[in-house]
Amino acid sequence: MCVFRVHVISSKTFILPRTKIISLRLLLLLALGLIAFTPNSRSIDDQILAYTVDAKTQDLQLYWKNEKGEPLKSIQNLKAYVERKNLTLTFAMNGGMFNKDFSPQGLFIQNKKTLVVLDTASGNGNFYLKPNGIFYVTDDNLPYVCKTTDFSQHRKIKFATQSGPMLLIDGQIHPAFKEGSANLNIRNGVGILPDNKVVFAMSKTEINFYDFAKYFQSLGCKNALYLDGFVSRTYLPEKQWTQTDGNFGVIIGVTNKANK
Amino acid sequence: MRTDFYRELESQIATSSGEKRKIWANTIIEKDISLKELSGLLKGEHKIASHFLWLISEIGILNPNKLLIELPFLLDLSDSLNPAYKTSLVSFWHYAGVPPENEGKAIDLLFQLLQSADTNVSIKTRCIWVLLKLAKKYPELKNELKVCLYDQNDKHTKDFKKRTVKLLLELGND
Repeated sequence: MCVFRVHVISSKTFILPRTKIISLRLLLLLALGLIAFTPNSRSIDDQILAYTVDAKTQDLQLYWKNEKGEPLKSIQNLKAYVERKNLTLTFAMNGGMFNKDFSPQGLFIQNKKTLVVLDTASGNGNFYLKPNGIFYVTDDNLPYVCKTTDFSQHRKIKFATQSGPMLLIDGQIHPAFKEGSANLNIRNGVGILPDNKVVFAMSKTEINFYDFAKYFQSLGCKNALYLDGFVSRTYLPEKQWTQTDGNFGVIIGVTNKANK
Repeated sequence: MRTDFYRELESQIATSSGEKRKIWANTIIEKDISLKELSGLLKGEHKIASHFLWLISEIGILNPNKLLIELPFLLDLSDSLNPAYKTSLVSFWHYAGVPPENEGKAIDLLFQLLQSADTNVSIKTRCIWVLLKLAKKYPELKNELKVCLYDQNDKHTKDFKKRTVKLLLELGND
């Protein structure tokens, strides 16, 4: 409305120089552009909680069981577990699908030990929506996301979790995802950024696969993996997001040495 | 997780919206949760059971193959449930098809419901659609279906009559 008034004034009341009219038109276009694009970019930021980790400098680990060999299940239990080791949990998120006994579904490597082997079978459900994939961190703290079929255990791998489907494959959205799909759920996933940092993301509200994958694509990720949906929980106190419940298998955690 | 999901359904489904049931249906499909694990909901309060039946229909609309796999279990279970819930099977067969191992029982139930004065017209219409599909596979059903359609013709709405007349012509031409 304000812009419209300027236009009326410029054409009826004042005779402005041509350059000024052009500037005003440019301003009008810019304003319209802002109105058109701001809500969308805001809404995706409002909709998704993301956390970037530098695996080279931060202590990123995958957890499953406590010292007694019992599944941790919840972020609260993980928090207590790391605190017993004099560490502070700065980030946590469920890290893959799991069976009824809370054991990881598919490959799980913890501290270089393969605790659950690679699953290359076919089946129903998201895990088997091929291509599925693996998020792993090598011995020299380099993070990767790759398709299950491209995975090679020849490298020294410190941590790995298998899940499915892949969200992005070499920069392309998984071919099974449909734009505008009504298949909505709370979802979380992991992607590798161009600077080789890891980005974990969880939707705060229900989202379809396509939009979720698109989010990772917008960050510049080439490969991204879906971790889970419905059960998704994130602990990220620096963004005032502290979900400490949960009932799942593998949990991804980032810790700092606790200040005494 | 599945226990959590069951609890969520149990506590919220009775007052749930269609949109929410769609989200749950997606979760069941995506996680490949067996309906057997959730079947306790059909033995609960009527409002919980009836809304869960709607949710099952939603699964059939979104992913007929997922529902088709579950149908033999649901048919077996229906004998131990409120008899009124049997009519939901007609909708499930309408969305997902009839599993080959259930065709005999399904045909009996469909004719029974089609001829019953207690069945409402929308269920009868679905019965006819499912029977028509089965009649394509088993042409010997056509005559029985024709007899039923003649019988039902004048007992319901004008729209129903229009539809049955059209179907009778189709069946007659085959």
